[in-house]
Amino acid sequence: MLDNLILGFSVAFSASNLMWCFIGVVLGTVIGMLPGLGASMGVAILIPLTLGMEPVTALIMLAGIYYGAQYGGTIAAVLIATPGDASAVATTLDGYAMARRGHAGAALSIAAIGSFVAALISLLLLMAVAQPIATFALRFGPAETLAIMLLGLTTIISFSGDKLAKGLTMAGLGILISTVGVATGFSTARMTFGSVNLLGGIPFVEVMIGLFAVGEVVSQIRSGGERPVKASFKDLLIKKEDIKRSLPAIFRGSFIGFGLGTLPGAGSTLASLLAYGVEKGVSKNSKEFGHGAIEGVAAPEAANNAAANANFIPTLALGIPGGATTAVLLGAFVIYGVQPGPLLFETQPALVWGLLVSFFIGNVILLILNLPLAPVFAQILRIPYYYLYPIILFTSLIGAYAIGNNVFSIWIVVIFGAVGYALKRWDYPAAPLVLGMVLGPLLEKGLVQTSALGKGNLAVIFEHPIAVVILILAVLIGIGPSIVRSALRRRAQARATSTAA
Amino acid sequence: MSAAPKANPREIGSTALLISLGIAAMIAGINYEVYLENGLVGPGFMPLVAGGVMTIAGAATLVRSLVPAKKKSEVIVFDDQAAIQAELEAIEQEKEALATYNDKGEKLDTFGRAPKQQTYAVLAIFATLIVSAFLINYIGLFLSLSLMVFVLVFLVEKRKIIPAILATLGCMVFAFVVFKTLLQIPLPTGLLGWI
Repeated sequence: MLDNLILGFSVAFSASNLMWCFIGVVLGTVIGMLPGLGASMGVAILIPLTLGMEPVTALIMLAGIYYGAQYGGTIAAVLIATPGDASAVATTLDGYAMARRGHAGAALSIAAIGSFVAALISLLLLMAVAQPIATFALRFGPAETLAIMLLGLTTIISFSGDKLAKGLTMAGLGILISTVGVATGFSTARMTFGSVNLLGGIPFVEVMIGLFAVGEVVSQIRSGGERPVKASFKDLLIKKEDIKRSLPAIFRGSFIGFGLGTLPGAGSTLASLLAYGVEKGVSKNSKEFGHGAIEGVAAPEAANNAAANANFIPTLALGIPGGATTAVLLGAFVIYGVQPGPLLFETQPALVWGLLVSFFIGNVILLILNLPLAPVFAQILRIPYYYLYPIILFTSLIGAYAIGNNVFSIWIVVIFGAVGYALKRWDYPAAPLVLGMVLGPLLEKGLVQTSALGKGNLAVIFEHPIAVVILILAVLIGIGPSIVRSALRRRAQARATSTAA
Repeated sequence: MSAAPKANPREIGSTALLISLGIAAMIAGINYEVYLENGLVGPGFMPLVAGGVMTIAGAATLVRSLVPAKKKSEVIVFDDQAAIQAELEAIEQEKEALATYNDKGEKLDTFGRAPKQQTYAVLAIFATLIVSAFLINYIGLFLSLSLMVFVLVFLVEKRKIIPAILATLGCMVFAFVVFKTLLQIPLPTGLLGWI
């Protein structure tokens, strides 16, 4: 692993890669912080702008946006109390409580420190674990690849949470969209309705831009936007005892986050909630939780960041996205002609290790930026959304044209903007749709190859032991989170009735 | 606590739409040959499977929306649910206190819109996007999208004209620098043949 690290450092420390890493994490922080923006949107819109870059540079920047957005989201959760998704609830409760008492600086600082430590731990683990997985995966044949794709699809179950049926519908829709056009291996043009533009299929990045940029913007307008409540920065500096208190929480959170984030699926969401719950359970200060306990910020933040990094394990080593944003990143990989998966470590070691080392560099930059500069970033929250969103729409449309070189791309963005808006209104989750689109072609390839292997009989998959193990794992991943959820629910209810009694 | 949600027309409509899409996909899949002669997977297999999943899952969603179900809470790891709920409600109340209202007593959002105006705003934005896309072939992409920004800031958001012009100019400069100079991507110029 040492030579790989050296290789990675030599790639990541080039002037251009350092600069774009910096730009990526700053952009990511801003994007993660501003309500109405999101990491998926940022990555989708910026893919067209990276067209002229080296693949590794582009990926370094886009990945920087991804984990930078984690830091930015923390700033938003602490300062504006926008628990936009379940994972931010934990940070909001204690972080925002701290902010209202004037300790916003301390909350943000511990979040930054916790995230950084978590990043270090998770990156070291990632580097140690990813290569062996990839090497093992080199032995995969068509049956195993099909099993992996099915595993990727079962993660949809965990993404959908309580909305399982809706999630499956979206996954089906995503796969359906991916079948439009002429499929590799066949000569039939499917569902092109005579359009020449559709022969190549419905373009992925444009759909992402439509769903996550245009759709998000319009939803924000419809729902009315967020109102930041003023938080004061009485103490910017964090006390030593606060750090001492939080260190164990950070470590626990990091390992929980890494463990759950490695599994493709919605592990990240569950990770921060679980970390918060565990911390509350073992902490001596558990009564303070919910009212401004600093461990209540440190643990979920560490878990979030660790999970975000761990998401790269299935993405890079197996080619299965760990989440919606990693799915968009996966699409970006493909556009640059890089196929993530087991072969990536063999064929493109410089790119992979350069990317992984850049994560280190990016997190260092983020720590340096966030510790003193969080209040400065907070001023950016003052930019009114009504100036931001026309700029977002402008960049989305022109970026879409840049990718497709055709006004058709712009129409795709507008149409899927409407689709994205409709999905939000009708309460359908978007992540399964993205996953379906990404995994659909790979699944089809796996099916075609496996049926060729079995001479028409798909059950040949059961004759390959590794594939069977993967399928069992898929079932576990599918059922696992719901079992964990109901167990936690039951325990919470039992505690509630026992305290009431 | 079990509430019986009444069948939501929006929910039924959207689910029905997705189910019909699923059925259409299955029909298309069957037309494209699900299996080839030698039993291998054919081009119709995936559309059939995808459509099948959509139809079945859609039917399940439909059934669920019609049958009253117990509402499960999302927040599950917190034991003292009541205290957490109280804290969240306090946060909501603080936000409520800052809310503004118009003459009719309707609550205005952060953009200054009452609920009905929000729907109009959405339609206005889509209309602007669609018209801009159409105009590309006439006045070129650069001008059309810049006009779009101006219309959005000035007309849809009803900001003052100077900031609107500044925002538009900002976008134009950004687009020029990034797309024309750095990336050197030729943008359609429409019938005018300008930039």
